Amino acid sequence: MIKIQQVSKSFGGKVKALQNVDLHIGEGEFVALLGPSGAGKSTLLRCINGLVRPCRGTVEVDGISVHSSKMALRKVRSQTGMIFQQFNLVKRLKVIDNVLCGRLAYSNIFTSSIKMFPRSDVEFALYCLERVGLADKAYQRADQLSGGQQQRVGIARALVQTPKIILADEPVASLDPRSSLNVMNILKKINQEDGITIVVSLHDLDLARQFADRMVGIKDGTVVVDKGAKDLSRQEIEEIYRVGKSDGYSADFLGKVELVHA
Amino acid sequence: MPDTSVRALEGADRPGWKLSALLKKGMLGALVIFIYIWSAYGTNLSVSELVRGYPFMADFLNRMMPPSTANLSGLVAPTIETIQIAIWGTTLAVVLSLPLGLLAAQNITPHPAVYYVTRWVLNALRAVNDLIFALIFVAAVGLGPFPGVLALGVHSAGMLGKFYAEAIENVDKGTIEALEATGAHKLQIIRYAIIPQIVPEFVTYNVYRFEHNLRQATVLGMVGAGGLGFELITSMRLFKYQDAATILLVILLVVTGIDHISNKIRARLI
Repeated sequence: MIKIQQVSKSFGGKVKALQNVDLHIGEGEFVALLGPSGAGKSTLLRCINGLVRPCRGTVEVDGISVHSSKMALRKVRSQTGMIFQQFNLVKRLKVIDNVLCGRLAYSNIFTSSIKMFPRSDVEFALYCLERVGLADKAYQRADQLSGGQQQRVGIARALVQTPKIILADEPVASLDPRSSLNVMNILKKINQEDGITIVVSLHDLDLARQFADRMVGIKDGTVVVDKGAKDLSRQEIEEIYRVGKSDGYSADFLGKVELVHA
Repeated sequence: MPDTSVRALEGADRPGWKLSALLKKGMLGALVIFIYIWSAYGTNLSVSELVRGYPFMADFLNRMMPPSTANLSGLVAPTIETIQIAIWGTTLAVVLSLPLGLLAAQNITPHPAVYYVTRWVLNALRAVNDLIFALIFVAAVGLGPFPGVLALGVHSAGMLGKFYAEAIENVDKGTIEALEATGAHKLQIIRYAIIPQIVPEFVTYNVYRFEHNLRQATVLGMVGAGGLGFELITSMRLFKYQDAATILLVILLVVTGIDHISNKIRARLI
């Protein structure tokens, strides 16, 4: 389903976000990307739907080379849902309009710009809201919802795309534990019932262990571990998160903060 | 051990009273004072002139009193015209500046070259005062309120376009990215991610601009571009100071009235 081959990406020449990443993800898998912040998880996710263009290497989604043309890019994006740490809803729009945003790639530019969607789209959007348990909030403004609810709207926006893949960039990092579990449960359900491939970056190891079939550890822009969720040993996990030399500064800084608080 | 590091951190925060910093501040102060004195000479700033001119001012005000009521009925039409100029001038400005604002916003401009050209156009429109535009348009389309509308529209477009562009640049990047990720077309992203987010700023700027344009519309008549300004300059030239006083009062009334109404509109819409 997703074929990432020899992908490298650097920002501004100096910072190497990804280095020669090879990763194949099959249809219907639930993959967790693990790693410390700044390891390149977000960049890797964004290479899959072309929000980030790799400097080298190729990304193929469902047989389409993502970065080959504008048409290919739009095709891949329309079939790939994405949810974000900060939800990224349009706060001043109604919930239903936010969900319908997921249909834009399938809609006529002119009728959609006067908020005219086919009845079938609106009904499908309501159905997707129902699946995430928010059918009753459809006509409220998005900013009136709690964080957990907003993230579920984000999932509905992805679902309404009828995607083959859903990418989730730290989807629960801004949520309380209960909402986190709820969101992860919904993702798992979608994965199992619809067979949608799910790639989610997480920093909460327990959640990853609980929901993912496969764990991919990323550190300094490279894949360091790639195993079934059950097979990952404590030692390997520690290896992913071990503070390297480059992080010496932050460790030092944390130490100082503690001193000041004492 | 913790104590020493805390003290070290505090020490690092304390501003150093170094001689060089003091010298810098002194020189900056001297420069500011110099600029003020120099500009005072340039503008013939003089307290004695002001004192000597006082009787003439008093005489001037005296001649205005009491404001005449004879010309009141003749002022109705120009007052309405002034408001109409402001309405159409502002509307024209909004229509012109919407595309300009979109092209001049760094985050959605189609090309950097387009960005620079539109920014330059907006700067040029702002640099030329609306009275100067009015002079140009009077020459082009003749006397009357229409050149006034054009002048306000074109000059205000420079102002509004810049404000719109800044509002667009401040839009939450995440929502734009989220819509890009769905494969939405750029026009759809503008419609669904950008426009809803700039509505409050859009309304505020437009209402402010309408107030400003109304004030400008009261002087456009001085260069022949319609409205109350024409009545004012005519009565001054004919030494009808009592009529002029009435016109000034009407202007005061209309401007404060519209300010009041637009404050209400703003409060309701946001």
